[in-house]
Amino acid sequence: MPTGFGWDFKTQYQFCQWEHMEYQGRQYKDALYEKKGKIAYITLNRPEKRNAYNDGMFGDMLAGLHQANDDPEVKVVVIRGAGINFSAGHDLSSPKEEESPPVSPSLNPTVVDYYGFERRRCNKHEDIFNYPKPTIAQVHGYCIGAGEIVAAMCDITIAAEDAQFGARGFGRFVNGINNYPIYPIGSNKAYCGRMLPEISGKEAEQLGTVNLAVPKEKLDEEVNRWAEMLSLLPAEVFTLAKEWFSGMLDINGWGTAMRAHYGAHLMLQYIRFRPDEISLYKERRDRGLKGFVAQRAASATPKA
Amino acid sequence: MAYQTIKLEKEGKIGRLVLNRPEKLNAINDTMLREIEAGLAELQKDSNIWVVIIKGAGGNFSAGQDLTGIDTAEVMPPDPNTKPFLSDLYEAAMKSYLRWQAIFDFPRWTIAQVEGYCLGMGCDLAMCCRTVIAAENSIFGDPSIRIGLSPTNPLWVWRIGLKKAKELLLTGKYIDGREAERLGLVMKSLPAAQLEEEVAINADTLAKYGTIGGFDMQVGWFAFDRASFDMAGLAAGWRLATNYHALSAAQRPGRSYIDRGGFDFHRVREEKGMKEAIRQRDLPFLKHFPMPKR
Repeated sequence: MPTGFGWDFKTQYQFCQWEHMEYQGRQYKDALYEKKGKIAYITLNRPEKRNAYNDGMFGDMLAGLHQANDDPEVKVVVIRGAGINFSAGHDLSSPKEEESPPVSPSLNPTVVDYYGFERRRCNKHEDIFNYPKPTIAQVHGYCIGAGEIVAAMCDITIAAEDAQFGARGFGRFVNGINNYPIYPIGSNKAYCGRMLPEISGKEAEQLGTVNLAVPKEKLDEEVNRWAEMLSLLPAEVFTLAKEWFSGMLDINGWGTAMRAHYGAHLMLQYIRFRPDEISLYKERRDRGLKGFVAQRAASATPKA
Repeated sequence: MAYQTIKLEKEGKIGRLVLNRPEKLNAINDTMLREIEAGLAELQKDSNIWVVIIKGAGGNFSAGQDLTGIDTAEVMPPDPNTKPFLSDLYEAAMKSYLRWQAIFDFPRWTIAQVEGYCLGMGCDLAMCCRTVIAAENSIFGDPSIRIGLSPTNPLWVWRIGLKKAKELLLTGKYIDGREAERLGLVMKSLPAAQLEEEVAINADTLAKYGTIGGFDMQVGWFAFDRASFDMAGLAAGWRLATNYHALSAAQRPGRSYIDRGGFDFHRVREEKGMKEAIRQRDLPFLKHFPMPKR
């Protein structure tokens, strides 16, 4: 098996899930893989579902990361979305057997099961952070929930000025930053930022959660410019420097923050909704998913 | 003590350490690094000096570590083509870490007065000061990754956050003083003509009214500050950076990107000279990130 740096033996970079996602002979569908010169493009491809993550899309994306890693010609990986947006987050309409959406309480998992499951779910994001080659997220349109995390995990995040991070009506435990302790942006900004339900690409640039925001029509060009530039850098040293950045996050409690993240998800299993609150599961059953989303948005909009 | 590459000036309670190799853009070679340490030690002995301003002569702060290979054994790793021993690389990197940490620990109020170039090791020096005040048209950046060296200073991440530190250090991008202020790398940026006066006002304020409790408090307070930085992981991050830096310095032909068409700084410097090597280092990136205007 080839490896990303041109050797003939198989390496295990770190424990990661993309490594176990086979790409040989794969029919990419929910995410597409394409190589142009030194740049690999992974295009999230469920436009009819606003590129919401189900298991299929995660699988194809991870396989793409695997393939790009193993191909010595690939110097930079770009993750982007087909259709009107980057990604609307986890697909809440997935069947409950899938591991991508929040676990349905009706599955009634044990805490032990749930922890193993959470690790699988969240480590997919961390794996992007630890990916050995340079990564760029190209964000346009909605970038919500899991989409925000994927965008934040990439080394460079470039957004359209009118991109929208977060959505009205949904609590944001991520601000394009996951549960990082303090580093991605100043802690004060991070805390204040979490209170904002939705911000534009331009605002995200000011906040520091994305590297830059450009007019939508210039997004492709700008991303390609950065990709070409990153491809010129010494690959091994880039990887070493990334290891250092990741190590600094570890020192400052990244692992603990991820545990807290699992814990916060576990909490979801024990939530009881009060009468004036809106339950995903109940509303989805009674009004359908779109009804739930509309209901949440309406209730979260203050009356003028 | 007579210095060759720096000047020391004392004026009341304010000391000035001036990097003084203007013809070399104040590039830091072994001599200068030793003299910076000696100069700081001399100022520290004088308990009448409350505030130290570090600045550069000739319109530049410092263009970074001297990359010529002459008198640079302590400021840059050896040519990887000479197949240096890893133990030497690690020991040199560790020594360098300890001395920079000591500069960061300097127990007086320090202000970096930055104009012109402030790159690489020059940036390290500025960041090791407690405050940076810069001209709007000064130029900051650490291009070390472009010559295959992993950066050594965690203060970048502390000052500007992970996302921006990655953007700057992983690309070697240069930014101007205004942008540096926006990112939090410097406390204040202002037109170059007002720099000297602004720094003087700040230093004077610190010298006269700096800390309630006077000089004892100023020194003691910082000792506690440093303890809290290290508890928050600064020292560990610094050591980690040091280790990866040593590992990056070991990347050599036969073992790395250099075989696959990567830029071999030392080879180009040897064959075509220093200026050409610097030009080639930055050239491919200039079309993506033009050098900020001075």
